[in-house]
Amino acid sequence: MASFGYTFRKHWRKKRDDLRQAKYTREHDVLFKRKGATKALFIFMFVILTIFVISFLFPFAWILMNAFKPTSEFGLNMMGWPKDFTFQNFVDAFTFKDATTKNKSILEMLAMTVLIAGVGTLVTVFTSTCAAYVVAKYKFFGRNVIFAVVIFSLIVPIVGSLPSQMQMMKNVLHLDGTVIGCIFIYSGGFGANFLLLYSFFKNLSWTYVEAAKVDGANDFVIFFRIIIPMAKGPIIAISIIQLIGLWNDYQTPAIYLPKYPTLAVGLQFLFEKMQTLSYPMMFATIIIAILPILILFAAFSKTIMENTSVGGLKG
Amino acid sequence: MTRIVEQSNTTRRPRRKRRFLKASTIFVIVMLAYSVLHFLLMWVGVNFNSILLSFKSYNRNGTYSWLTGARFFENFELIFTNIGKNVDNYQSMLFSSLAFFVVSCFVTLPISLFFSYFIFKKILASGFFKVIFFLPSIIPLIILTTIYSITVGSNGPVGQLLNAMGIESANLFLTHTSSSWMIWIFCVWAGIGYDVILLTAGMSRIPRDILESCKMDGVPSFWEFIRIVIPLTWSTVTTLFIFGMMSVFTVFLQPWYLAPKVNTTWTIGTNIYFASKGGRALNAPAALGLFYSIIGAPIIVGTRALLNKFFGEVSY
Repeated sequence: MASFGYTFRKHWRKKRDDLRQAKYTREHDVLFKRKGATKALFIFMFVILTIFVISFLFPFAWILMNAFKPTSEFGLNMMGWPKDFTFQNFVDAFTFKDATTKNKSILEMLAMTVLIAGVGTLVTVFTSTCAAYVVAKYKFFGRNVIFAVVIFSLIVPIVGSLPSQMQMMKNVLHLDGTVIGCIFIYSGGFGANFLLLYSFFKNLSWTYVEAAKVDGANDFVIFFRIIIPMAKGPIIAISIIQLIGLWNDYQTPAIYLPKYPTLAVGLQFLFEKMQTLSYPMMFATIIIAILPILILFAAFSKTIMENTSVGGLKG
Repeated sequence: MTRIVEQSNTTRRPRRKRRFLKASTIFVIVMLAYSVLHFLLMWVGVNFNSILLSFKSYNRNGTYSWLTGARFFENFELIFTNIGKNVDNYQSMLFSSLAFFVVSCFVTLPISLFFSYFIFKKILASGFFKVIFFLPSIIPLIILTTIYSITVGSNGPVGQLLNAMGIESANLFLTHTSSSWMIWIFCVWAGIGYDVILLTAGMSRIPRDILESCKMDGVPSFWEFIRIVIPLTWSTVTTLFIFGMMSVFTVFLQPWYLAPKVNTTWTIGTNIYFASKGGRALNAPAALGLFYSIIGAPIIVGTRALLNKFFGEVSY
């Protein structure tokens, strides 16, 4: 507990220092000093950006406020604070299930999402790491061909390969309707993750590996004991981005796992039903569904944004 | 005795070299095996099968048979017939899909560029703006669309405001024209954030020296934006433009989530998704996908090459 408190205080101290530094830069850096028409333009744009940000935040605030109202109050008091504050909507949201939701509650959907997105992330990040390391650091026959084909597959848009993929999953691999099938689709090692890790490994110093080789370590030991710990930063960042992507994925679980809906699939069933029953319960469901992602984002916002940016620039 | 051993050693050594692979070769094979197999199966195999499927017909017993002779291109002929006669809203599907190119490339991208410039120039609360702009990228699409439709719908605060202004908010997602507008507005609203993140990251790589010399020369913000910032972030702009072009084929859930009752707003992606979802007669959607890949791929690759020629590659 004490350790958590220390980490928390350390984090906030760092945050406060960053903010102070940003303020100082804005006020004293010659590059960002503005006057006259430029200053007016920046004030105008600040207002525009603020309006835009409010358009993002206001609906969430409105939903949060209404999630604590009884259904009877929502119809009469949509814009005001809850008069009869209740947590019942959250309790109902956790337990609600019927035929339209495939008899699955939000907790079961959450568990399925954790399983598929979690294992999918682990597998795909691992395969990407293995492939990227070998292609970046080892000279072998066909290395350039592999790299060129991966780039080609990422650049050239293929429209509608879904029908063929479905046929393959059903008739060839027989993985249709299974959790393993979903994870198998996610598990490819060649994708955007591969490119990010490839560029990291390409710039990685070979000195440690040479030293380990002199000491008699084989390639597997070097990879697991030296390379993976050295690549911990980018691997964690890619894992978080991948986890969010798989957490929100609709198509794969909707097609290949219709009987066991994940959160992204099941929420649609829940919303369809709840819109006819109780809006506040639907709002509570929304809050429950986005909370894990928001916590993850709050904890790793800097890592996520920096690495998303890098990924985009490489495209 | 020693000689014999030496002799036998010298004769054995080359054999061992031939018989066994080097340890590092085994390592490379083990590390790449899964990814290569997966790629061969799920990219090469799937796309090859997609081509084969589009030259087959679906039988009532659930099997597929090859189209031969005059019927060889039947699946593709059907696409042209459907577009010509507007069967299954093929014409509106084309229009709806192409509209996303305009929305992404000529509305979302310019607005994002403009916003990014001010965030890059450290406008007040720029860090906060960046974080908020990123939020739509991490929230599931079903939640974003639901929140948007409820807020704008008759029960929501914006809907009530619209009602007060004389606009029937209850009908916004019920007619083709209003639904299309609402979907496009949503795509701009939710899409700006991701573009802003990528663009500000691209802009942050611009060397400080260049910006300082602009400041010393008294270059106004507008010209700094047009002549310095855009050319130096052109690779990111090109990437986002290509993403925008690809949205013609990739956007499929937004129209369905927002206007499920107005299927004239559905895109190529939505149609392929629903045609495939039943798992039957996959030859028609496969042909549709192949048809648009043949048209779309060279256009997108060509546009990328063309855009790259606008400004020379600058390394800084």
